[in-house]
Formats: sequence, structure tokens, C-alpha cells
Amino acid sequence: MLLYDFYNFNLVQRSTIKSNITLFFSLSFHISFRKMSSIKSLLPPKISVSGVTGASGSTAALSDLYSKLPKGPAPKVQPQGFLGRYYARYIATSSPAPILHVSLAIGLIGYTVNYHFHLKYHKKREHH
Amino acid sequence: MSLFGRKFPTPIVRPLAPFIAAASIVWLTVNKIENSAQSLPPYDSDPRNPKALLNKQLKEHH
Amino acid sequence: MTKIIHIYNPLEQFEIVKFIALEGPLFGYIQIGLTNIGFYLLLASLFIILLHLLYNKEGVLGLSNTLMLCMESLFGFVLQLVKNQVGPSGQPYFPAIYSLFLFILLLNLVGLIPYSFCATAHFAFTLGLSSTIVLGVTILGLKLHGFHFFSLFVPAGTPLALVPLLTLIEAVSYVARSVSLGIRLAANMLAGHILLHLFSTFSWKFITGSFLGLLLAPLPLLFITLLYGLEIGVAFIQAFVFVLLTCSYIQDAIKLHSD
Repeated sequence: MLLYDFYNFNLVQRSTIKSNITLFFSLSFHISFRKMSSIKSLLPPKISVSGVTGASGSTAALSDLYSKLPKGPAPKVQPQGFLGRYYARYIATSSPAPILHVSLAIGLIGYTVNYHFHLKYHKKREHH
Repeated sequence: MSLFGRKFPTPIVRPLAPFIAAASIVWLTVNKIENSAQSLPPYDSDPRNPKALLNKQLKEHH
Repeated sequence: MTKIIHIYNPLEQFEIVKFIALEGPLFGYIQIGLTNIGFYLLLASLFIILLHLLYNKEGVLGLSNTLMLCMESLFGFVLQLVKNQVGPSGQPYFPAIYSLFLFILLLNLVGLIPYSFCATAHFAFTLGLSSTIVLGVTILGLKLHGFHFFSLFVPAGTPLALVPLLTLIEAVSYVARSVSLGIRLAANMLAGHILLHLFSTFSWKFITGSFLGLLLAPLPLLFITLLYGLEIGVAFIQAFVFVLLTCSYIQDAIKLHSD
């Protein structure tokens, strides 16, 4: 999803920036970093389950709630389909290989077309 | 409008209606010029002309 | 001693060939065919769709990889352009302008791949595009302002005696937009491709011609590499200029006399 608030013409950045290349690009385009004044949005919303954190103060129900939450690192989802596997292999890792793949694929298509219409005539005569 | 499993909540056809109309006008005009240029006398029987065969048949018919 | 060097025609790369042709005396005479221009237009469209499908496939927020960064940058770039040139009333035209920018940019870049074909180096394509844009902008202006649209041809503060002359000049310059917009793009791409083809042919002949040429091979190769970088820059700049002018024409039609 695009991070720009389309209808208000505002650029909104909603998460932290991971790579250093981002700094380089964001200088030229007005991608504003999150202002510190909006630090409120970083804090999680107040969890209020009625009767759990209320006046009763029973910690048993609270620990029961948290014991059911999943623990450890999130399970890795196996990518599905060609696009999914390609994404996981090359796009998600920011690999430069897709440029090469596209160049090779289009070059191959172009060579096939050129061979059929021009190059096979060049082998017989000097000019076509 | 939904395409490729994504939603595009923006008007597309209405703001672009003038451009669609312009595209049809340009297409029709170019088609008309092409058709009339392909049946002009010195080039109507040129072998490179894709309409040469039809032009020849039309001449024999009349 | 003269030596004849045979080279292939550098204009041969621009030849339009038909892949599939459907012709016949139907409805007058129809000629429906897929030429290599159409083929590369389809290829670029497919490529744009693929880019946007691959873009953020995981559904994560933030700039997590380079493709996302590039797409966001291009999106933000065109958004800023539309914002600055057309203003808030040009908002509905943003999707079209963004698509136009990506389309021309990808056609320019695809044309730079060896053995490929540059559709934007063809006047038939770019003039069709630019005349469609200028005619569409005219229809838009007439729809929004009616007869008042023709006040675009009379600059503010003109003496009455000069009005007929200035109207004529402004009308000619308005019509010339449709030609200049297309010729600017096609001529730049055409010149770049001819230059690249000529230099690579001569470098090949220079390198394979003699032993001295083989020793000095890095020099022409370096030059071609630099020229290639320049052409990539030209591809970006021409796509930008095309979209910039489209924006300013739309702005002219939406608000007459915006100065």
C-alpha cells in the first residue's frame, strides 16, 4: 500500500526506516520523518478488558489472558506461487538481481525478434 | 473499482473523459488520413502499399 | 591505402515490422495488426503491472526493501510535481499522470536494453500521444469554461489594436504544443539510439581491426559506458519533461490566466 495520504496531499510516514539508502533518497523528496510530537502514536492503546484490570485486581485472569498469547518469533510463512517466491528471494532482500533478470529477458525477446526480421538476412548478405 | 485484488478508490473515467474523447478523435482522423493516402494515384499500385491489391481489384471492377 | 568498412544501417533498429497482421476489405479496409511498437507497449504495460504486484507483496508498512523505496520515491516525485504544477484542483488527474510517467519512463528504459526496440523513438507513437493530450486538454477547457476558454489566446493587458495579431500568434503556439511535445521526446530518444549504435559499431570495428586497437580497447568501451549512463539520464529527463508539460497544459485549461 502506498504511504501517501492521497486525498489530502500529505506525505505520511507510518513506520521506522530500516536501510541507510532511505536517507539518501528521502533528502530529495519531501518524505518527512515522524515528528517527535506524535510519539503518542508509538504507545500501544490502553488494553481494558472489563473486569480484568478493573477494581477487582485479580491477577489470575490477567495472566490467563497473556498465557494464551503466542510466544517466540512469528512462524515463517512459506511463499506461495511464482511471484511470492520471487518476492521472497529477490525483492524482500533488496537484491540487484531483478535488473539483470529483466535486462536478460527483454534482451532475449528482442534478439528473437531481431533474428527473425534482420539478423538472419545479415548472415547471407552484407546489407538488407 | 477493483483490479488485481486491489481497490482503487479514485474516479478514473470521469476526469479522463475528455482525453478518451480526444483519443477517439485522433484515432479516427489518422485512420481517415491513412486510408485516403493509401489510395492516392502514384502510390496506390506500389508493392509496398498494403492496400495495393485492393486498389488494383477496385480499378478492374470499375 | 583505403579500407572499406561495412557497417549495418543504424536506422535499421527502428524498423517497424508486423508480428500479426489482420487485413481485409471489411468495413472499407481494416488493418489490425500487432507491430513491434504495439508489442513493446504491451510489454511495458505488463512490466508496470508486475512492478505494482510485486511492490509490497508482504503487506508490511514502511520502506522495507529497495523496490518499495523506488516506487515510493517515484510516486512522491510525481505527486509533488502535480501538487506544484496543477494544484489541488488537478488531483483527479494524478493517477493518469503517474501512469503516463511510468509508461514513458519504462518504454525509454526498455529501449536501452541491447537488441530491444524503443517505441518512444517513433514519431508516430509520440505525436499520437501528444496530440491526444493537447486535444483532450482543449476539450477539458471547453467543457469547464465554455466560450470563455478562448480568452487563453488573448494575454491580459493587450492593446485592442494588437488583439487580432496576438490571437493569431497565441493560437499558432497553442497548436504547435501538440507537435513540439511529441517531437521533443522522439527526437531525443532517436538521436541517443543512433549515437549509441554508431559508436558501438565503430568501437567493435576499431577493436577487432588491429592489434593496436585491441590494446586501446578500454578507451572506446569506457566512452560507450559513459554515453549509456547519459542515455539513462535522458530517459528519465524526457519522461519528466513530458509529464511536466502535460501538467502545465492541464493547469492552463483548468484555470485560465493563472499568472
